[in-house]
This record gives sequence, C-alpha cells and structure tokens, in this order.
Amino acid sequence: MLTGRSTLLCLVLMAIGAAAAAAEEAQYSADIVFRDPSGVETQPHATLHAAHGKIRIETAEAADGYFLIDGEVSSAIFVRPSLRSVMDAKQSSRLTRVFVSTGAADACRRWQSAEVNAGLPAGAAQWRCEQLESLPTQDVGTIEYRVQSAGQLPSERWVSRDLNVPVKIQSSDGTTISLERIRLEAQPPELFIVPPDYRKLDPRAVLERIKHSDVWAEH
Amino acid sequence: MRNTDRKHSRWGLGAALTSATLSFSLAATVGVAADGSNNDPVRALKTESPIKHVIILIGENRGTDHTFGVYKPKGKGQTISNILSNGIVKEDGSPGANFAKARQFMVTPQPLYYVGAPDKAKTAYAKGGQPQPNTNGAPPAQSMSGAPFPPDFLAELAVLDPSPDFNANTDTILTTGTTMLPPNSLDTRVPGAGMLPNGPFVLQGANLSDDDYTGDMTHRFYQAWQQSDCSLANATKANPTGCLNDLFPFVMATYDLNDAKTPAVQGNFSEGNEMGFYDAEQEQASTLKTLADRFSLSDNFHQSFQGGTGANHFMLGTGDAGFWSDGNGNPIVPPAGQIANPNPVAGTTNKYTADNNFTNCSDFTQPGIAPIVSYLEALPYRPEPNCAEGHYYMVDNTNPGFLPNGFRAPSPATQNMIPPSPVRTIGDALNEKNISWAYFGGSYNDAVVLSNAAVAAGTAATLNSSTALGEAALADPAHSLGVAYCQICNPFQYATSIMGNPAQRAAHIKDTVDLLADIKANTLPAVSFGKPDGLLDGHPSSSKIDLFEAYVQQVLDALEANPKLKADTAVFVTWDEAGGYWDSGFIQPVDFFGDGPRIPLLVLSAYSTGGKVNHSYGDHVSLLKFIERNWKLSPLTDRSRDNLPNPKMRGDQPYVPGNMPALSDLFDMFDFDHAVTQPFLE
Repeated sequence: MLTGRSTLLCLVLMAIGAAAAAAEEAQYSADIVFRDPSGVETQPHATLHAAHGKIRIETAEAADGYFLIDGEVSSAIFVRPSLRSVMDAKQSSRLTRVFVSTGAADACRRWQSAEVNAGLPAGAAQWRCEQLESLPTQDVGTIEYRVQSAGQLPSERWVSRDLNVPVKIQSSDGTTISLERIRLEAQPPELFIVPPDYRKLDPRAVLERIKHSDVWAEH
Repeated sequence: MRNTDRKHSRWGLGAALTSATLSFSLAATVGVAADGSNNDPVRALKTESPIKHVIILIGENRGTDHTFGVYKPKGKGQTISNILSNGIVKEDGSPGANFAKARQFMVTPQPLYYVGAPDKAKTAYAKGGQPQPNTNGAPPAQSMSGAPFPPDFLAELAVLDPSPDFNANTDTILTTGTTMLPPNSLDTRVPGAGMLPNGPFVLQGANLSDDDYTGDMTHRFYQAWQQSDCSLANATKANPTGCLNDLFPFVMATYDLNDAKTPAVQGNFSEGNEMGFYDAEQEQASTLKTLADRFSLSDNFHQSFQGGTGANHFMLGTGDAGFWSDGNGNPIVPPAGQIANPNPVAGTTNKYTADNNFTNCSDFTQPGIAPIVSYLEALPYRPEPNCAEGHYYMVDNTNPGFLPNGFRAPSPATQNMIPPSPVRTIGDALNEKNISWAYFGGSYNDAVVLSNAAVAAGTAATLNSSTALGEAALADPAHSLGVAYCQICNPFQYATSIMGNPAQRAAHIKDTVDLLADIKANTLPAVSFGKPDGLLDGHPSSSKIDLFEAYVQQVLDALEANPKLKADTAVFVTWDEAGGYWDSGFIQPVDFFGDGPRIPLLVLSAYSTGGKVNHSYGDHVSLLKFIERNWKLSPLTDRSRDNLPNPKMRGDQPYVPGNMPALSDLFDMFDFDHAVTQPFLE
C-alpha cells in the first residue's frame, strides 16, 4: 500500500529517537520535503519549527515571511517581519492546514478545525477523516489516518505519536509531503512571537477598491 | 508634497548609469558579449524600419485635452491643437478668449435615441447651472478600504503583491491623494466648484493636483456617441463630420436619471467631471510632459471605439469588434438581458431603457442603430458601418469567456461573460510569421493562482470571473491582488486561438514581472503589450495619473538599463480611451463603433525625438498598422480596420484626412535616417 515504506520507517525512528530525548513537549525543527510518486523532489523544501504549542513554517513561495500555526485552535497567520504586518493565512498555503499540532489521538478534529479556520467547508459532506487500524507490520510510532477534505485529493497521513505532527502525507496521486531531517533542539521563543506593533491586514480592502475600476466587469 | 520636482527626484532613475557599466553587468548576468551584442533572434527578423522591438503601454481613461490641453510643444516650429492653442483657456488654466467654443448644452426630451441633437432643442448651461465636479467614487480618506493607503498599508501591498507593479516608485504615491470629502459630493478641491462657468476647468488648486484621486464618470458606447453630438447639419470645412462634443455633462446627468418619477434620484454621480483637465505647463502630469518634450506626441490620435475599456482593447488587438457567438465562431443572439436599448424611457429626459452591452447594428429596426447608421451614411465619404448580419457586437465591458488560467466558462450567458471569440488577433498573425510577441498584464500571475482556486472551488463554472476571482482572493490573501489584473484589457484573453490553447497561453500571456525580466535578459519579444494592474493604470477614482506615470517610468528605467535594446526599441505610450473626458479635437467616424475622442500617443525611440507633434489621423488600429508594416504582415481580415489607407493630410486642414476614412500607420512619427540617443527622463 505504501511506497517508500522504508523511508517512512526511518522518519519515524528519527522522530522517536528525537522525542525520547526531548522534554515533555518536543521542540524541534525539520525540513518539509515535496516529492513526486517516483521520489524526486518537486520544489524547494520548506522548514518547520515547533515549540510552545506553535508551529512556524517558512516556504520558498513566501520567502519574506512565515506562517504561524496556533496548535490550540488550529488557526494560521502569515507574518512578514520586515513590513511589520500580519494577515490571516486562510488558504494561502496548504501546509498550514496539515502541519497542525494534532495531539496523539485528536488529529481529525484539529485538521477539521484548521480547514474551518481557513475558510474551507469542513462539514459532513466535505470532510472525511478516520484513523486506520495499525497493520502488524506498521511501526507503532505513528498513527495512520485517511483524510478527504474539500478541494484536495484524498490522502493518508502518518502522525508521530511523540511529535504530534504528521511525518508523512501521501496523496492519492502518489505525491508525498514528508517531514525529514528532524532536529531535536530548543527553539528560540522569538520565532513564535508576533510583535505587538504589527498591523492586522485584510485583503477585502483591495477588492473593494478594485470594484470602483474598469477591471471589475461583473455585469 | 506637491513640489514640481517630486517625481523625478523620488523616482531616481537608472539613466545616469553609463552604458559601459550596464554592458558589463548584463554580460555578467545573461552571458552576452562584452560589447553588448547578443544573439537576440528578434534582431534577425527583417523589418521595414530599424525598429526591432515594439512595446505598447496602455493606461486608462485620459484624453488629449485632459492631459495635454495646456501644453506648448518643445520642438522648434511645432504646433498643437489643444484648448490652449485654440484660446479656450489661458496658460494658467483659466477661461480664455474663446472659452465659449467649449460650451456644453442641455437637450429637451426627444422621443428616441439620437447622436445629433436638433439645434432648436439645445440650450447652453448658464454659469453655475452646468453639472459641477463630483467626488464620484474617489476615496474620501486614507483607509484600509483601498488606495490611497495609509503609509503602513504599504506593508500590506508588498505582502499581497510580490510583483514589481509595486515598488519604490509607486508606494509613496499610493499613500496620497485622498479627497477628504464625502463620497459623491461636490468636489470643492476644484477652485470655484459649485459656480464653475460653462466649459472646461483645471484640476489644480491648493488641495488638488495630479497626485489626487478625482471622481470618475460613465464611459459607455451609446453615451459616448450621444456626447459627441454628431450631425452633418453642424459640418464645416475644418470639422466636416459635424461632431460638436457639446453634450458631455448633459448625457452623464440624464442617461440614468429617473426624473419623471423620482427627480432627485440619480443613478450616477459623474456630473461635471468630464470637463476637468490638467495643466502640463504647470507641472501636472510632468513625466508625460517631459516625454513629450523629448520625443514625439500625436495630437490627432483617437480611441478606436466609442465608450469603454473592453471594446477599445479588443479593437487594439484585432482591428475589429467582438461579437456574441456559440463559442465555436458562429454568431447567435445573446440573452435578452444583454441587448442594449438606449431609447429614452417615456416621461424622462434621456434615461436609457436598457443600458446593456451588446447590439446588432446590422438591424436598423433595433433601438439605437438607425441614428448612428443614418449619420454614417450621410457623411460625404460614406464609411461602412461594418456590421455583419446577425452579429451582436460587444460595445461595453464584458469579461472574456476564458479565465486568466485558460479555464473556459461553461455558461457565459448566465455568467455575464462573452463566449470565446473567433476574431483573428494580431497575435495570430505574428504567430504565423514566427514573430515573437507577448501581452504583459499587471498581477496576471496572481490572477492565475486565483483562477486555479476558483476552478477548484467550482465558482469558475457558475459565477462571473470577476466575482469568482474576488471570492478566491478572500481565501488566498497572499495572491489577492490577482483581482487587480484587468481581464477585459487583454484582447487575447477573448480569443480561442490564444487563450484556449495552453501552449499559446503560456508563451504569450504574462505578467509585468516578465516584461521587466525580458528587458533585462535581452529576451524581449518583437511585439509587447504592457498593461498595469487596476491600482496603477491611472483610471480616475480607482487610480491616479501619476501612478500610471510611475508604471511607465518603471518600464523605461528597465529599458534605460539596456542601451542596446533601447536603441532598436520603440515605446508607444497611449490610453484605452478618454474615459468620458471632454475633448475639443476633430473626430473621424470610420464605422459604427468609432472613432471616439482624442487620446494622447507618445512615441519614444531614438528615431522620434525632438519634441515633435504629429497631426496625422490615427487610432488604436494605427498601432496594428505599424506592426504590420514593420514586420511585413497583411491586414488581419478582410473587414478589420487595418485595411484602411494611410491618411492624406492636407496643409489647409491639418487634422482632416483628405481621403477619409483613413488611419495612419505612424511611420511618419519617425525619422529613421537620424537616430538620437538620449535618456527617456532625467
């Protein structure tokens, strides 16, 4: 069923090893790697930092800023320090809806909350998430889920029991997103703090202005 | 803030860089030879002139008198026809000896739509009785509700749009220009507002300059024809088509005025904004003035289509008008709710019955057709209306049947989008000759991301594309400026041959970022169309003229940094239309669809220097004719306007072609025997 099972096992072992040496709440960083079905990386990897109940993700697509995910409420913002601005991430990056702090057995609810916070429909008709039974051959360090969310291909996700985040997501088309090169280490608190003078911004502003121009041709 | 040097000092240019420095840096970055030569295949194409690259930059909604009405040519012996030279205003913008030539009139109610008001039905506005300037749509204060943004909002723009449409040139002036007045109110920033005399007024005062947002006005097809007030009864030797241009405020004040039932209720607040103009001799639109001083300006260039953005851009790309079809090239009747009826509602002065976007001008019996066609047939040169039987032509803004990502709207009729167009474009003609070209639309890349999201969400299949992208923008703040990409400005987005072909789309439909990158990398196509996004296009109300100037300067800066490319490039700077602004110039109707009022055309190249002013009659299609002559292409179709001959201009009537209908191919704006190297701006 799985491709790259050995890779997954390595990831999990690394995660377990890292977690074993960690404090009760793990602090770590890792790379988020995107691969096609043949295992070839398809885009520059992203970086993940986790600590203090928050996850920070830095991507090449938004190199001047970073996403912050609040583990408690599964909501995400996008922060750009050089411009002292912050905005709701909404659906600007799929990663903010996947790499939420799931809790050991609470993953489906947390992911569903992330979908709702991103403005996606996550009701009964659009959302499916179930924990799968562990196979005898499967490593006990992960819990496997099958997820169907609005506008996304069905996926299977393996959540580390110790890190409380997915370590691999495999979509039905065979592409994968995996957490690799996990580095168990203390994270600077400032990575997860939004300074109080940052402005909260709303894209509805630009939309309203454009409606006054010829660009908007609704009728 | 309003000092006259603000733009040039703030927008520090790369012009001071030496060519040697530039050659070295380019060689280092793109692998060209140290002497600046390269293997640009565009240069290998045979051309009729030394011009190997053309860049056409298109702003929004500014007319010739509005922009260059108070302008004195820099070139020796050069003349210009504008409201200053004709004595309508003085150099300071105040009324001149011939101010009455610009008088505007009211018309008593008529039973049917008209384009030439009966003389006995017209009455000139008394002083103060003329509709006055209004803040219509202009932002009342700095806010988060759109430009102008408070300074900290610049952070948001940079976050939203990583494209170079927003940069150091534009961010400062995006923060300025608030009206500080209530919406839809008398624009008291205009000196004398409320009691302005009957005629044009200058957009300049203690609280008003070209760096301020001003009120917009309606600019649609049937309204524009009516504003031009064309009748052979008015014809003279200098104005043989008899277009008086004297109903501009009246039509705005009445076409949507339900005065029989609720006289106080007006559907739009254009009011007197049509008569506003900038004073170039007092440093308004100073970048444009500097370019005119150094290069060449046409004072007889026209919007090709009466009315607004979409139809004019379509004409620019095709030399023709789009029509409602089955999506496979066959004309069909659009939904009834799309068909225009400009006849007045009974009991009103001039309220249009159905102000819609499509019209069948081959059918005399349909509302609004006979007055225009009858007028055309009465003209001594009898221009063909060029209305094919059974075709309902797009005369007002309608989104293309393709989204920016190429998705084909499945139900254009219910989505208020025009089905994919079979009309041949200049892109098709260039493709056939393997001549490179591209359309560079500001914020296009973001628009593609939003389109992909709209397709995924299913809204692209059910909603109008503006609405669908707007919804996607709210879900994806990082790409939300994709809503500012102008779909109706891209004539190729209508075309099945381009937009319906993924390879064609990828090769030719690009973003401003790609234009700048191509200039830098010596990969500029032979023919380039550049269009800023909706915040920078210069459109009144939603943008400012100096924001478009900043966009132009950004492109010129890039070109300035590549001297070899600059040397064989011609940059044409023009507008889609006059946006409803009044203009005093002669109009030559060439078919049912236009021409309309004058718009500026600046020609920037080493072969068009010296501050010259060209009087040959042209319109958007002249740009097609230039391309076709330079690269030896044939007219696009047997009905496209590029079949019209070059005008034979006469000394006694320098603005009236002796062989109407005729359109210049613009070659006479160049002196290809003499190249002069000079900076665009300093």
